[in-house]
Amino acid sequence: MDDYLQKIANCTNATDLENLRVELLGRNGLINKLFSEIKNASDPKAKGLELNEFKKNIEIAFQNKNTITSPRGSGAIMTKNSLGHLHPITQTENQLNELFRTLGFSIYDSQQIETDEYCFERLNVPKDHPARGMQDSIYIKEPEILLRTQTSSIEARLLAEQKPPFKVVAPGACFRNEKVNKSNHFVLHQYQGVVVDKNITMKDLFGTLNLMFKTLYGPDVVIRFRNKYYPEVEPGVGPDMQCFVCKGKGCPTCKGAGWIEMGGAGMIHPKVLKMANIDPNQWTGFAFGLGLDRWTMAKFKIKDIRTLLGGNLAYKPNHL
Amino acid sequence: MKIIYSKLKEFLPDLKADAKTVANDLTWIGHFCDGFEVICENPPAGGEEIISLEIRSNRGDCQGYLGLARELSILYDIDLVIPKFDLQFGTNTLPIKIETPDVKRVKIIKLTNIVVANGDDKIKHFLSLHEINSINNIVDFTNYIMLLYGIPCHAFDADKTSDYLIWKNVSTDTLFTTLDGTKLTLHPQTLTISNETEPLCLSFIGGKDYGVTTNTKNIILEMAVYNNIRVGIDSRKLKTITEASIRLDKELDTDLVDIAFDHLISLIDSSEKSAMFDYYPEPIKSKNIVLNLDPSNIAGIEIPADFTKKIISQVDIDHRADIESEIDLVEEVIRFYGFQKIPLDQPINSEILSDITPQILKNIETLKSELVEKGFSEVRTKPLTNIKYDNSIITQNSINSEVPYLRTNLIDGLKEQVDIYNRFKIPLTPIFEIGKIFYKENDKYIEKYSLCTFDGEFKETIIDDSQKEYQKIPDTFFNAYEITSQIICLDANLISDKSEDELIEFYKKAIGDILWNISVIDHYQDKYTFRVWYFNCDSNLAKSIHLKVFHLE
Repeated sequence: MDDYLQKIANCTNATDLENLRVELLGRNGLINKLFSEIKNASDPKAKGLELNEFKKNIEIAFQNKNTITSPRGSGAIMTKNSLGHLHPITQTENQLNELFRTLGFSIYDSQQIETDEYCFERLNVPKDHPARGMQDSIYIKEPEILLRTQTSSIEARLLAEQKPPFKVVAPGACFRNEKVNKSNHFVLHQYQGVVVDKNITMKDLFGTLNLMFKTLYGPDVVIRFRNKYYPEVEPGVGPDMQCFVCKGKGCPTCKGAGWIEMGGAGMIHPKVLKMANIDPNQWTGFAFGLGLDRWTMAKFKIKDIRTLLGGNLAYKPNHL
Repeated sequence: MKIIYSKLKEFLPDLKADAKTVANDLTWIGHFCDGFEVICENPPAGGEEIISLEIRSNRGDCQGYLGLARELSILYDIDLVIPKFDLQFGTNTLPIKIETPDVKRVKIIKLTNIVVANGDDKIKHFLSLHEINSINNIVDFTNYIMLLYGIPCHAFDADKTSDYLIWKNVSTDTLFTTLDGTKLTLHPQTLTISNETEPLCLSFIGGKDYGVTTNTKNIILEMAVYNNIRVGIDSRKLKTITEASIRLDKELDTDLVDIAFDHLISLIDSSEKSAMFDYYPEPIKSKNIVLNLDPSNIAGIEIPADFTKKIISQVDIDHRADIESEIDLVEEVIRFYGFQKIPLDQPINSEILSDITPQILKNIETLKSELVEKGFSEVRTKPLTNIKYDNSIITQNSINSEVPYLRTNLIDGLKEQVDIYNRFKIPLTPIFEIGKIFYKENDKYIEKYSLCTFDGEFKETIIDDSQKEYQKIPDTFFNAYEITSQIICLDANLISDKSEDELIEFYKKAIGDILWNISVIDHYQDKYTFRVWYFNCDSNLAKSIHLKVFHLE
């Protein structure tokens, strides 16, 4: 039997594999032939059991091999022309990137092992801010080197590396010192937007984010922008979406508030621009950051955040 | 923080807006209303409307009713009424010592021959609406004042503590028992109120043996504002959060101590008062911030100049720790003018500036596109792992101690993913991951993008930033699913004169949501053998549906 299993394993193309399948499992194949000869065996019952085991192993070997090489997807998957799948987070990022590209934005990223300077200092995060504590950040070498806690650090790098004007969005993974469970993970995915140009105003920010939410959630979505505190922006803004379940009346989904918090935004603080040698008298800008995990989970009906990273996320074959 | 609407009105007698409007307006100006309830204890006499607010962490001045009332007095342009007290103090000075730089201000007084009794009913009710239990009249008064003004205060039994109180940071690990009996080990530098031998109280929680009881005759009252960073560190390190620590870890208004402490003293009858001890090493100085910027240019809408002038004259910038520069004044003007007046239908112009997308990000998009076209599906695995290599970078403090290392490759994660698929009996398909890997080289931390594929064997390669042409990623189907149980695979034989495609289409509809995949594994003339994979259901359900759909019962 090992010879046949080896033959299956050595098959390099689907045609050879199919020929071998017919040779072994076809109606006139080897296994049926062996079954028809059972009656001549000295112990037909034992021979039958042995042959059943042999057939099962051969079928499993084909099944596993088919999943990788079959041209017609008999084990599940690919036809010759079938496409694979992008991860749900990537699909979300791409949907946003596509929108922002049409608005003239570039895509950006920076390092995930960050320094205190770019993760906090250049973003005007006060020394006493809880994010700087060992409880909230994952340090490599406290207090200077840590895993970035927010995609705002991409903004700090961008401001230091590029000369304005620029319009940029930056999807990225960030890290928080959270115990992993069904609702929390030490990795979270955020989406940062940064614009620095002449005469950029809050009206530009509100209009852009409103367009983004309507693209994501549909034209009927209701968005509001309230004042909120983030050290790196001033004025700071909290975009909220009217609860899609209760339409603003208050329910368990929105914890009675009628609104769901969607992230943070605001006009880039002049101090942040100055630290990057950008003259705030000449340039203004806005920045925003959104969490992608919850939105992606809702869209794909994923209930356990662990599914997103190395979890039990799987892809149905394309034709289904 | 909870606010009782009726109490708020005591500071704002001219307040006309109803509670819901107030809650909504506070949200617009930065104090997010995350709950609203009406407690009706004696219907139909009416109830209390309670607004639950999330106060911005940089608004130490809004940790009590007075601060929020001040905000509303500006927003609605109505008078703010602050109570005044004319108190007489004695001449006996207290032998207090301040031996720490962490005290910004403290006022202390000793009251003699006080009466400890049950708390006042009105105050008990008020505290209960804030979910604070009544202890006795004295402790209730301290909590009441903290809620009104946002400045915590504390009462000691003077006969237990003696008058020799010292504000100091402990120098070594020190044992301390809180008023509820919790034993804590104070780390060096923890701020305490001590006598000559031991800590009596921390900045944000009282000690077990020195509080006010029914036997107490004489009390020492203190109200202080501390270095908020110190309080925050102490509270976090001791994993103890109290109503006091929530307030004291913000930058509170040190001048507010005067009115709040006078109000507290006025509530307590005593035969004698000591002299007032007032330690205030650096009184608040007047800020010199001039607004030259036009808030209209930041908001993008016209804000009348006289409105700007009025707001700037009303905002008490000297007592607002969050106002440091001109842009902070701009925010004051815009938030009181109304964020809701800024239009939402005018996004940024779509002028395309020079593309600064790094080449490597374009390459990654191209690679993903190519891989998806070849039938590979993308997975993402955890960047932290338990697998250690010689050049691994270790995290210092991750609470997920079972995965302390940053991954040095993607292969290990992808192998784990394949194991998970096998565990769920999911037929294997080609998969890939593109992500960061991390390692140490000559004491430097290096991170690079890497690509790992699995199509029967694992291959990994570092992605470089050499020039490649950008290709749009093709649209793919939204076929990603969370798997919660093993895939169940069942076969069925049938005879039909229909085509394979027609049959598959028919059974897809018949089986419905639990169908993972269906395919014909054997076909001879009109005889078919189908193999069907069911997911996210137990084997009994899968079997029963299988038998029904294929008429095998």
